[in-house]
Amino acid sequence: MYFKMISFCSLLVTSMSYAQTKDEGPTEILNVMPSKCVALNEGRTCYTDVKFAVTAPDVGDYCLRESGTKKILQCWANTRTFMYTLNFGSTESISYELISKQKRDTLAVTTIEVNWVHKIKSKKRRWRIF
Amino acid sequence: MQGRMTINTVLTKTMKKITTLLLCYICFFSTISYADEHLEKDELLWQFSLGTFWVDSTMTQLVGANSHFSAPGLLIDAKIEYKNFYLNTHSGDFYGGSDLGYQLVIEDGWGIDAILGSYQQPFNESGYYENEDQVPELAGIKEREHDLSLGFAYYFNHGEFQTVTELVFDVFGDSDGWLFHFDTTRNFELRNWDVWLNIGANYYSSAFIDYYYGIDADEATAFRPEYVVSNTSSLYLQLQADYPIAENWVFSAGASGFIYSSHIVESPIVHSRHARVFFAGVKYVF
Repeated sequence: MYFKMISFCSLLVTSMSYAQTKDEGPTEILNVMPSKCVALNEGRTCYTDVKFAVTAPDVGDYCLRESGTKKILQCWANTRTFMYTLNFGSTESISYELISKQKRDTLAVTTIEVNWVHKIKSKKRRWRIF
Repeated sequence: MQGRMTINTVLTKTMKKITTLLLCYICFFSTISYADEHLEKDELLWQFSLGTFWVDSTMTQLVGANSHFSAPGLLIDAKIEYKNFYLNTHSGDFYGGSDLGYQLVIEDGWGIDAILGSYQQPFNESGYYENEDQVPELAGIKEREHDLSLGFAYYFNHGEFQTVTELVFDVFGDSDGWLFHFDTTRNFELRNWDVWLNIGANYYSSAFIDYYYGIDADEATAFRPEYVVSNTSSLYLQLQADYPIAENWVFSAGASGFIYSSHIVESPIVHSRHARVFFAGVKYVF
């Protein structure tokens, strides 16, 4: 029984490690960690601290902004690499883009995906223990 | 006294029949009338989860029996929804039981369901746990099986609270009793944490609770006199926290306390009226 339990726990840990590391795929110019935010239920605001790491091809002036609303998160002048931490909170996936101020061009786009664990929301919030 | 018991028994059996017939009637006709209005819910929704939990529980103590359980265990949950039907099943050492329901009325902020479920823990001469040896103090008692109760649930939301009242009759069990349940839940969303507090109460008819904790004439001994349990109530408090560790993975931890009304310990087979549970673990949601 305990062997089965240990085996099951090992499987859990392995699967969880995989679930966490598969989000870490790099992009060339705009890296984001983590790229997924997981909430318990659909419609729930998902919170996470997202770290953007930018490695631009040339020194210049750049801005990070939301793709949909075009809201600027922050701009950097006369630089090639920089980091930015976003206090992310959303009920749905949001894309962000890196723009060059000189070229007025979008250099890279990345998306923070919002997923949820439960497909069915619990109707009852109690246990039948007794 | 004999006459009163007979009237009560007839009344209870009549109520069971009325409940069963009423539920069948309502389910049948509401299925027809709601069929066209709920086409969007025709798809089959399902969700299974498998996890491992550490559980420490102490049940209301039966005389001489082990009522404490502390061990890791597996947990399998299933949630299935189709049209207005839903099935929630839980296996494991602390969840346990199933809820089968049919949503008769679905409105904004409230609803009425027909429900089928179990409300009481079974036990026998070995106590609550079947792998235990026979307990001398319980030797000779008949097996107390799960109730299988059918009835109605009325749900309503008020502010941040969700409240449910249930009136069920042990239609398919052996108690011939009924039970009224009330609970209210407050959910707190603390960033990605989901913390909920649930306060509830049960009121058991004499027949229902007596089936479990009463002593019939054929079970009575010199040390275990015949005993009838009158109407009884219970209160409980539950707190649970859930956190999404990763996609498909949830951490849960919780605690619960439960107490019967004081006269339950007058039963010759009941030693304590308190129960409590602590648990923590992770589960994978498919």
